[in-house]
Amino acid sequence: MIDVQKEQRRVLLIDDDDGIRQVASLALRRIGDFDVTEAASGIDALEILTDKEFDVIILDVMMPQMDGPSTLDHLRKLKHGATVPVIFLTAKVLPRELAKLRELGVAGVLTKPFDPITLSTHIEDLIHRRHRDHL
Amino acid sequence: MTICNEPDDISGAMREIWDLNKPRVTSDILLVSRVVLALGDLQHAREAAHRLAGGLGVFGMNEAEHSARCIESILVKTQNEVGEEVGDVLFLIKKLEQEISTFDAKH
Repeated sequence: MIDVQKEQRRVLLIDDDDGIRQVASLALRRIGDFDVTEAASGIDALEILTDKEFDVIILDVMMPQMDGPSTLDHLRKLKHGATVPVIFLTAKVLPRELAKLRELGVAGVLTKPFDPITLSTHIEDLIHRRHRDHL
Repeated sequence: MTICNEPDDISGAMREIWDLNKPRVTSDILLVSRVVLALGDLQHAREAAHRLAGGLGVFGMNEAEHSARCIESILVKTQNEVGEEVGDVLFLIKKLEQEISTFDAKH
């Protein structure tokens, strides 16, 4: 019997809210078996991305100093950030606000509050959809 | 802020995260309360209400999240001071605090 071990997906989770970040990290690690790296700001995330690669980036929209869209703009210029799927995490709920975020070329937009139990499945779905669309 | 010896069960770990973050939630509620009494910065209160709206729901406090969203919406529309909606905001803050207390008592 061949033992096929699923490779752990590496996720960079960027959110300035400690509570949100900790809950999301817990859910992704324990339920989705993701390898999670946390960043509390866009600036920290860009530093991490200079020498580390990820399979997906989860990016909070509203953050002080450098918000989600600005962070996205900067990370797209980095070698490890140029093509990685990015998923926005936002507490905004108006359809036009969400549509505006989608127009920035991200793999998806998740709204807060998220259900920790289904978060990993949503992330997996968005990654798969992104891969399918780019085939 | 890190969780040491994270409990095996998810709900235990979530509880621990909540306990670590509760002081921040309390301080955000205080920020909102102060602006209602014209004592605080409106933009800081809007940001605090936004954090509450996004943060409480992940712990399963859906009504508190809804109250925080209503507060945020009122504060976003407010130009300088919370005027005739002071009563509404105070009521929503009370509701929010009550749900947090109920949540704490249950867990």
